Amino acid sequence: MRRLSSAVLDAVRRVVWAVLRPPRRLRFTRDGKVFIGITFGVGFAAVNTGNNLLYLVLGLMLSLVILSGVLSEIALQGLEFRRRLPRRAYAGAPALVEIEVYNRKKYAPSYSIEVEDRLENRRTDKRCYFLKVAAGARQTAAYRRVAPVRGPETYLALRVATRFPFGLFEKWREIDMREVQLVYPSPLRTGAERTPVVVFGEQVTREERGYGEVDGVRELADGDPVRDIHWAKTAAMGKLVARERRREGARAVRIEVANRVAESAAEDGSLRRVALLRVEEEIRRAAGAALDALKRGASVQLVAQVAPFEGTGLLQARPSSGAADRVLAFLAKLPPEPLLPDDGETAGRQRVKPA
Amino acid sequence: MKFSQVHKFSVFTLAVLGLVALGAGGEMPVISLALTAVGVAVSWFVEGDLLQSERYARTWNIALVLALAAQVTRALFFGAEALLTVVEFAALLQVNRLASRRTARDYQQITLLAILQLIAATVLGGGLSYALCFVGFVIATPWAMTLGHLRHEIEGNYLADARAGRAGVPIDVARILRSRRVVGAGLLAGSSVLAVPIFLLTAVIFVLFPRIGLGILTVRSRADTVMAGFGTSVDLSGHGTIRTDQTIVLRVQPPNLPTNPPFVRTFRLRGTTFDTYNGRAWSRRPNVGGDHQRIERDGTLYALTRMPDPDRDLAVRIVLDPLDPPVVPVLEGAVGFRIDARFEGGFPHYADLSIDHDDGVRYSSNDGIGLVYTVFMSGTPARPAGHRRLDERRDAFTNRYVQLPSDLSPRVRDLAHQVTAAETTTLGRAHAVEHFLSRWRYTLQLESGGAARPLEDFLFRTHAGHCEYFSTAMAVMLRTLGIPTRNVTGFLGGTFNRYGRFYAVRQGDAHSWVEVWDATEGWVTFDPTPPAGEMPVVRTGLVAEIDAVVEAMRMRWRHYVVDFDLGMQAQIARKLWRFIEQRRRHDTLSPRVLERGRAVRLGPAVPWKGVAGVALGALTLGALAWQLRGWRRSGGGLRGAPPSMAVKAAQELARALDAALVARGIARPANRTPLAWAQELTLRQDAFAAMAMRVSERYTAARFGDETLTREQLDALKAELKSAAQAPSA
Repeated sequence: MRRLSSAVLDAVRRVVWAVLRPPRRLRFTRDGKVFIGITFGVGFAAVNTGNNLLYLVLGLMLSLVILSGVLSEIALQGLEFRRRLPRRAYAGAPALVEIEVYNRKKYAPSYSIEVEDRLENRRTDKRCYFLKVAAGARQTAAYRRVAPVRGPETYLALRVATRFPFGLFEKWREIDMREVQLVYPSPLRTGAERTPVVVFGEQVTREERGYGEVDGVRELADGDPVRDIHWAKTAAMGKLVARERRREGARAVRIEVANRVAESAAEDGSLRRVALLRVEEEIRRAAGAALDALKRGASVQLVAQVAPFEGTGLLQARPSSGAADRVLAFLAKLPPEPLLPDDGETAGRQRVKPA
Repeated sequence: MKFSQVHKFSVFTLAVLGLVALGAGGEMPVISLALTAVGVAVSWFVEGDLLQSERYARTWNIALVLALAAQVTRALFFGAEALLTVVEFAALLQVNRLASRRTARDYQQITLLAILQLIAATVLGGGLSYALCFVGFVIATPWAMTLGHLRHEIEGNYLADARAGRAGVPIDVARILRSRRVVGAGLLAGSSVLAVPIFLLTAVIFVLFPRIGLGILTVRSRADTVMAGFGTSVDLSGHGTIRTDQTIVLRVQPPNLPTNPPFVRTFRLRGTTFDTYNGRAWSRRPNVGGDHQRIERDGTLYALTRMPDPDRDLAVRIVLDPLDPPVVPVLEGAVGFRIDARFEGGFPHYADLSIDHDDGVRYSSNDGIGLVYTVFMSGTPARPAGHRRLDERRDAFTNRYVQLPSDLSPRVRDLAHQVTAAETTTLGRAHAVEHFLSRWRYTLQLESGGAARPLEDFLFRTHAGHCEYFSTAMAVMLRTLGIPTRNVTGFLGGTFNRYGRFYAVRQGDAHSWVEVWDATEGWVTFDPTPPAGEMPVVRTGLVAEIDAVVEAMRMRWRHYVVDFDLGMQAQIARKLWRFIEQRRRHDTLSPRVLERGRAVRLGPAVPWKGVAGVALGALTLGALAWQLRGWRRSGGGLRGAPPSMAVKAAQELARALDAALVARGIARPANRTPLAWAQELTLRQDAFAAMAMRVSERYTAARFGDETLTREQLDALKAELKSAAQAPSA
């Protein structure tokens, strides 16, 4: 009963907040606080002394504040935003996220627009800044997002802000724009002595990477050497295409992913942390091995010790254009949920200019 | 236009405005002002590597510390005024910021300093110069703040990650600041247009903000006025005030002014009276019989001879600059005053007026901002207030106003007897003396000033002097006959300011005359000074016009801004309420329908007249704009029809006549036509009357009749006038 009433109250609070929440929100900047402080001082002095010239200055300062509100509103109006997520993003590696702004206004340009991505449970490390978006113009800026860990990363909204025209306060609103980016584990290539794979038919090691007869073409995958690019097909298809080579004896590779956290480590915080980091490393090695195998033309069978919440713990991937993505996506979703690094999402915010 | 250039210009403009506002308060000596100006000018040219030099920055820091130490030392040990030292250091600080501007933060500091200086200037001085600076701020602040913000964002965003661009190319902030694309004409025009809503909003806030005035620390701005000296004595060896002194002392706004009121108008504003003459100077005996009495007050009304009736009495508004001592100049025929209360601490404070034994009115004030008051004039002449009290203390009175210096020459008495031999009454004698003296020559040359006995020298040798000689001579001559007199100083006449629609009374209009006691009439005013000395000095030309515009602006600034208070707010609220009431009454007369026996409004009546008026106005403005466009395209100009040759000749003749009259010491008052003045001269049997009559008739016929005046005739008449003017007086 108590839980029900709490849920109802929570729902009511959410609805009320959704209804009452102003579309725009304000925050005074440091300069703004100084300005408002002086304005209050002038106001007090004017009321106290009755000096009309102080009232005049007070009027001027308040006018600037009021006008600042109006102009910042105009700057934020009539803007359309689009986000373009990278096709592939690897944990710990930078990937470009593009923000496009279109100023629908006919005459008024928008100055000093700052756009920041809002992520679920994550902090954004960068913002995009648009100095001037002319009326009717479109501008794109990109920022490098470094996802700290593998797994789905949810982009919730765009926080659009401006401090125009006087920098007295920052006005912002959030635009709901939900998108999910599946962050792949960053593939780790290691020597044979540390390989996590169990091989059927042939040992797959870095030393044994060879290049046989061309079997076909496929889309260029991450880690493919440049010399594999099939330039004629690339030109014809309009995208980077690599040669796929067949290798005798590399028909199928079974890779077991040790993603189970020992029960003994589950309760102890520090042990669990070490275990989770070890699992992550295993997953990264598996990714590296699987990509290598696919590149060599072998089919890959991934077997996870613990299956993901939705789906099975087994993946069969034959060498094809989408095989690498399937493998990486499978590995990205594997439990356990990776541990966020302590400083992973607290890196200083940086800003980038429009492209 | 380059971003950096526009930003620099806007910030310098703001800084200069702040410094001017600070300097206009009058606290800074000329040398400090000059050094500040030089500093600002030099800092404009400080650019490039010098700005980035650490050594340069260090030098400035040391200089600032030394300057601060010097100012503190001056204030503590050398008696320099603390306010002055602070103001000077604030100016130096701004120069330092201007000369050390590197980043957006420096520019923002300059803007902030300028605003703080504008705030400080509200206490240092609130004159017209402040008003101009304020208008400049309204225009320049949006520029400086907008560009400052953009620069701050550019530096903040682009410096943080110089290699964040997708192409990995370093982003050069300096390149953006040199860009002409960021600040286009649109942004500049937009931020300039912002001045309009800022101005309107400021005005609205200014008017609506209640003038409560807690009064914990009451500091009113000092008006941009000069403390005029209203002498406590009159010394014949010098000038009371120079007639050419154009400093405005007060402004008179008569009611119901015609469209084209006379440019010069003579009215007498009574100031101070003197009762004691020591042979060289007039002074006033202190505290005779309880000198000052508080004037009776009823609300904002003050009774001089009776409580004024605002509905029936004529109201003349006077704006007085601070006088020392705080004398209230009173128009002749005044029955009372109205002075609006000032609100301090939310309560009205009424001015205290007092009147002395000789009807001199003073106000109690130490705020140095003068007084605004309305004088009520009765249609019928009123006896001066002193008359009432006079009867009560006749003995003291008699002794006081017949006092003479012990060493007065007996020749003065003889002359007085001689001049008044034919008269038997007090006023007849006074008229005789007045007439006798008024034929002498008015001059500002102190021909008798150096004499041991200036009055005797004036009476028996030079026969020339300024108004104080004439009034002294008359007062003393009458006193030798036992007639009580007193010497009065005040102001006579003023010139019309068509921009502000008021009469400006200047220091140069200060005048001296005589009041003679008559048992029947009370105090009667006599003015023995020749007309040439009575007329205000009239200035013409562009400078005079500019002065008039400035003075009109100053008057409005003072009325609508500096003196704005709770009373005026209440007045505005009342007017607004009246307007709404009128509209409401108008609405109730709008069409209705009867429904079930009740009057039901169909909704708000459309103010068709208003709509039509606005539409008509818009059309007219559009047509005017179209015309103006055409006019500008054609490159033509609008000019009035030039006067004909005949009119020009007549005007030239009138000017020649006026010059001759002035030379003869019988200048034509501005409110008399040449013909009327010639007739008056004839009645006075003046030697020049025949000539004046002949020329003025000729002028009238040529100017307004059909007669023509040839060049030969004009030259002949001018030659005659010239020779007649130079002929000796009878």
